[in-house]
Amino acid sequence: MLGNRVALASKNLPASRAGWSFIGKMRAERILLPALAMALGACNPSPEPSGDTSSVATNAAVSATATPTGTSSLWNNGRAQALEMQTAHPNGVVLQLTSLQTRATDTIVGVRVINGKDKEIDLNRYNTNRNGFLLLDTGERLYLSPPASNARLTIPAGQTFEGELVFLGRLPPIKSAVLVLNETSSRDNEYASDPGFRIDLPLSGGEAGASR
Amino acid sequence: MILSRRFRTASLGVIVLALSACDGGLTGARGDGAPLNAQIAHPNGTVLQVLSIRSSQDRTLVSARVLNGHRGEFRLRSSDNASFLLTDSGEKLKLMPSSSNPRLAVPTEKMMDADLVFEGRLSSSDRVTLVLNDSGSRDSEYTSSPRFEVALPLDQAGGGAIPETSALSNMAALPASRLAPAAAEGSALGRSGQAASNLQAIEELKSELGAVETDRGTIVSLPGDVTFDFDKATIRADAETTLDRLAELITASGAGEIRIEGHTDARGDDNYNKRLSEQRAEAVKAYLVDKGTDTARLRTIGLGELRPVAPNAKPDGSDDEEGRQRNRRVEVILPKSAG
Repeated sequence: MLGNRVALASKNLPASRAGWSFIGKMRAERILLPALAMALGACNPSPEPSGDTSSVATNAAVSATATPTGTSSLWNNGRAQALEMQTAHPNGVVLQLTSLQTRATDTIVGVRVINGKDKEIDLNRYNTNRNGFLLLDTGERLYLSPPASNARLTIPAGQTFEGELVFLGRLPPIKSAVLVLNETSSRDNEYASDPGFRIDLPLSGGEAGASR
Repeated sequence: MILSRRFRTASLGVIVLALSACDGGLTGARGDGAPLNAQIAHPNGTVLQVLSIRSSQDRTLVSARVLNGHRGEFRLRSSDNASFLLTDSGEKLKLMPSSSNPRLAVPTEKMMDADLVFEGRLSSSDRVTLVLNDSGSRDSEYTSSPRFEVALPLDQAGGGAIPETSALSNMAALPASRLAPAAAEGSALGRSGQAASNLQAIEELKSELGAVETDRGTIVSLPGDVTFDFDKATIRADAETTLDRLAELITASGAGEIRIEGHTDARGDDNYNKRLSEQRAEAVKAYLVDKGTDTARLRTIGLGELRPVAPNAKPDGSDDEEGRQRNRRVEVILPKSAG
């Protein structure tokens, strides 16, 4: 059975890609990029300062660069971008993404969740683990910061919830990222109470501090 | 290593001083060092953002911001020698502790500014690597001593006064997600203007009150132990907020008869229970009338122990306290057309 069906209605959206192949690529990059970064650092001891280069990676050796202050190191210059994206999980849950914005300390995804299932569902299955994150094309993961009062992001049966998913860390001016919720859960089980979602985010146009 | 550092300090001091004198215009995100832009998100849920670096005669300051999304506190200096600046010549400049927080521990669910002071001066020609918790884990999501490593350029490192010890400051709550019942069901349903707003209000109130849709209507169940004093029909002060919301729901829901049913558990005399349930239903009615509900719409009845929603006893005949607690309640039933 197919995984999440994603309808993209936003302007400036990238072409839809096969989710699994993209994730596989991202995982490979996550392994290879740190080694590449270390190798590059070794042969480039005095890099030229770059006006808008942002250094992000998984927790390996990271190379920092001097940068102007302000918002140029933030995706879309830190401005909010409206989204109209919808993913319907076979279990009856619909996840709509309504906005995206990054700040110096965190990145915010506006969401609306319609639980069409007859039982409650969790969008953050393991509240102490890291099953929800933004996977950046640099390989970095920005992890979900759940609300203290609803750490599992539970949606009661038949109800619609709105709000914001906050991920710790700024989103640099990158070209692509994937929103992952319940990483290890099923994306096609109609009985799942903890549905898995992987959604390509439309980031093109917001990179390099581009104006929109 | 010490000799090497002293030699470098002596030989490069003039150069650094000269650079510092020329370098007054640099402004970092915090402090006066060269503004940097590095971020590491560790799998344990913490984030390190390196904001600037500057060096003086005796010390080097790295300004950073730390976010702790880990389930417990985490440390930036897990032991005396675990965190340092590593120069390209192999020197290690140790991270100085804070007098009040020697391990530089960051509480869970907080973010803080970190002034990380390292013992010793750097040459402007050096490239230096910031290492925190050298023996810590790079990838464990459970570690409280996460390892961070960031290569920092020094060609724009500014000078200026640097404190003698490291410090954490400006503690603030971590940004966190929020989810709440939707204010609207979406434009796709075609509702408009005032009608949609009214519906939103009704749905919010129903959600807040835990209302249940049944064939009998919309039922709001008020737990007896929460709403009333023990064995009495006196409404408790801390139940008034819930009853106020109920009054709002009734107002927003429109016309129709509203039944208020009192229920008890099975313990005690049947007649006593029936009377108590009637009195409690009447108390709820009086409260709602006082809040503006038309008394003609409200009909009360005391049903005592006749309609339990849970067993009063377990299969072995022993007392089922949890079941009896659920049975002690007042149910307010709004007509089906309400919302």
